[in-house]
Amino acid sequence: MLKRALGFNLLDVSSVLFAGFFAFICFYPMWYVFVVSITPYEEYIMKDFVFAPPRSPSFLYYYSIIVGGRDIFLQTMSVSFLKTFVGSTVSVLVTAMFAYGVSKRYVLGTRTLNVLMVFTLFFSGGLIPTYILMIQLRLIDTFWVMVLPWIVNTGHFIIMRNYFSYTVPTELEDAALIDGSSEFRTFFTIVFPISKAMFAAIFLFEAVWHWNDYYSFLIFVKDTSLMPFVYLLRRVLEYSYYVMSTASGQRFVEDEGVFLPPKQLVMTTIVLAMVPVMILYPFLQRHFAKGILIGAVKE
Amino acid sequence: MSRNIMVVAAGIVLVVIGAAPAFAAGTTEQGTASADEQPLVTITRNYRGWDTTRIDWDYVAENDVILQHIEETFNVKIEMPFTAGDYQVVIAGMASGDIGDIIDTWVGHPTNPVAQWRDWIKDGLIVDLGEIVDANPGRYPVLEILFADPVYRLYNLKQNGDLDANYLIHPGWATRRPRGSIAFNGYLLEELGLDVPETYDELVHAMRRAKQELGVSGYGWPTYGGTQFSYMARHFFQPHGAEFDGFWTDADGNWFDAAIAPGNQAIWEEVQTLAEEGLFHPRWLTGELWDYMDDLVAGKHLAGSFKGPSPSQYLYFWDRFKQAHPEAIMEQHMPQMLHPLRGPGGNSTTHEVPFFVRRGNFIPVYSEHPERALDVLHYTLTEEFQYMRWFGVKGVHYTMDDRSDFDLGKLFDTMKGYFYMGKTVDDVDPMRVMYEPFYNTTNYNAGIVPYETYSSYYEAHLNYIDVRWERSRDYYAAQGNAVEVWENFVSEGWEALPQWMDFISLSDEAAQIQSALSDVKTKWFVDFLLGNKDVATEWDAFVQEYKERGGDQLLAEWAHKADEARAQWEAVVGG
Repeated sequence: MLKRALGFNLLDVSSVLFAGFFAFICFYPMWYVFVVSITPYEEYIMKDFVFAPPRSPSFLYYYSIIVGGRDIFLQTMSVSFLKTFVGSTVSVLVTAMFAYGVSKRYVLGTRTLNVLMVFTLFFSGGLIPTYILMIQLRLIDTFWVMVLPWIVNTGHFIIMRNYFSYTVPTELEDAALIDGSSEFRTFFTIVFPISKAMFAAIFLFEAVWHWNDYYSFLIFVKDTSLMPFVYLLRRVLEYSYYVMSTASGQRFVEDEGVFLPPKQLVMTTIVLAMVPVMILYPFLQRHFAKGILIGAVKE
Repeated sequence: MSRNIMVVAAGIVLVVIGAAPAFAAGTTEQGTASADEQPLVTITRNYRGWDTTRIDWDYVAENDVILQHIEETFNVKIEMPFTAGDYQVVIAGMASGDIGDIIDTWVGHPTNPVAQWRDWIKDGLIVDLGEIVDANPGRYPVLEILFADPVYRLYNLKQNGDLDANYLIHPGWATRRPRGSIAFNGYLLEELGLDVPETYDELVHAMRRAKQELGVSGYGWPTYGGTQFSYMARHFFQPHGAEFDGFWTDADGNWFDAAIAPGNQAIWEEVQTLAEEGLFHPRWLTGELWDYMDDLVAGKHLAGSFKGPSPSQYLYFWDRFKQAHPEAIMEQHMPQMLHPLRGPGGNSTTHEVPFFVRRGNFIPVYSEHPERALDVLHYTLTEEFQYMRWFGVKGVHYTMDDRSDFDLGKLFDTMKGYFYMGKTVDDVDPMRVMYEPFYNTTNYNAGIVPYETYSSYYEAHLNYIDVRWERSRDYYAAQGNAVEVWENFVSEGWEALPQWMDFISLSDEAAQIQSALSDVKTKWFVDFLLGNKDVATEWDAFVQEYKERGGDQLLAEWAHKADEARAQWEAVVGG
């Protein structure tokens, strides 16, 4: 009745309000981080609620990091980009080829390979055996230790395998084979083009993972020239967190004379770490919504 | 089209893969070029919050005269590779043999329990430093002093399981560093017409008037999410002659647990009243670490507790204050207490053993140059190095003036404010350096321990030299009363506990009870302050829960272990 008269009803209003509220709580943390990063300290401390941009924005910390610390900034960003690009590309390629092969039930041993893959989802060798393995593979302290051990993601493998098994029409592959196409050619020229949405989604997942990964550097690399940017971020954040949250943190504060980094510096580092991933999203977005559901339903 | 994309992508991947070995090889060769001429001594320091990525190595190599001096003196090349701060790195390194020549560790830390450390000794992973010293008489004179000292041997027993097991060099951390100063917003005090409070009553009066007349909160402290009440207790319990927590002895020498001491109920009732009046900083539980100080700077809060009277933290806040109030005068607009807070039951006080041991250095058996590493390690214990660490090379960077004060030269000309070796510090520098590689072997940050002068580990720690004063004279001159305040707090607010108390070690079971009781205390104390529990009517319920969770058992264990520690001390060190 109300809808007929006004064109909307209470459900519409509450839906819009809920969606608006939900959008706000997603947006506000990022907005907060950005606003604080450009708000001078003396203005920041006067605010009870940070929302409006500062009256006199200061890009001091952006300047400090990008220009003042350009060597370390460029170095860590380069490592992060290279790591993300190489890691994601190789990972998607290798995982996809593996999943494609394993999805073919007529290939001998696929069941065993499946079981072995899923096994790694639940069990791992643990830190020390992994560390020793990396030494024996001569990967310690190299760029590749941040890429090679993480190439195959079991979760992504399962998604891809299901996609190739249940979504890619076997008729197309059969037709290609009848026309004399090799498995490689079929994969790259037939399967890949019709699976772009899935590849885009997995690539995005991989890229975000590689971009955010600092653990492999933290554990296996001593050479600081291979430090990814997110490790810088982690250090700034953990520094604050650690000092704030533990009893020994208290001693750390009291006895070592260590002080928290300026809040604006923390926020600026977060913004700089977010930007590349935020830039990547729009390029993959048109595939993403479609691709994210792929493999979720087994037909 | 798709095929072309794939070909290009595959090409890029292949090029990158092809280039990677060269990239990797280039990076792994770093720092080893001169290994033939100079043995490489690698120092691994492991501590959360500190890592060598803070170090600009090119800058250090060019500017750190102390590092250069050590390398030249011992003909070694020193490296401090990145260790992320997580103990997993050391564990993995020990298991695989991929670790440095000198490793700094904290035996007894939850991530490195004593049992694990002793397993490493048992498994032959740690170099027996005693053997090296015995085999080279006269080469390590300071270590000879340390290894013969009965107190040092007790720390051997505590950490290594044997009085004469010299696997770890464990210098102590001298503790004559009183805490508990309060900084005030001087503008608010002026508005209220008040002087800086010196007594408990004056402090509460100022807090009340600030709330009533200006509508601002009165007192704040860093609580770390409600788990650290020591700052607050220093000003609201100790002036009443009480402790809010911990084990203490009464007039008859019997141990009691201060958390449930009957006299504390009345103090908690008063504190609860102050909280109800809104006199504490509103975000004492949920705020960030220095929220109250930010509000103090902003004029929304009257006073905050900090670690003072050491100048460094005060000056950190002062920098912020000055940023917001460029016209401010330090002693007028952001004054701090000149004396420990006085109350009807005494002063706010810091009680600690004269020194304690937590961390230490060891050399793993994988070291290719254990004796060279021990040369470096030993040197860091000498008075020459300790003075050098603070003041540079004598005659080059400092001399002594007529008053025997340090006349500092060009080393410090390049340093700004806080002293970090090797690099100047800038708050806006994301690579902020905390370059203190020998921090652990030089009495942490506390000063100089003159082992050679006293020929005794114990006596040297009792008579350590606090170089902060000298540093203060030169670097905190702007804070005119820094030294005076420090001296006041030492003479009026620092009390030493018997050294043997550092050897009280609870059983695993008791430690678990202690951990559980810590949670109980936090829950109740937070509820008291929030007003969720009424102290007057529910104190007994708190005490009952505390006892039910093992309070009496823990106290009994503590008393027993304390007797053991004292007896052990008397047996090894003497009365």
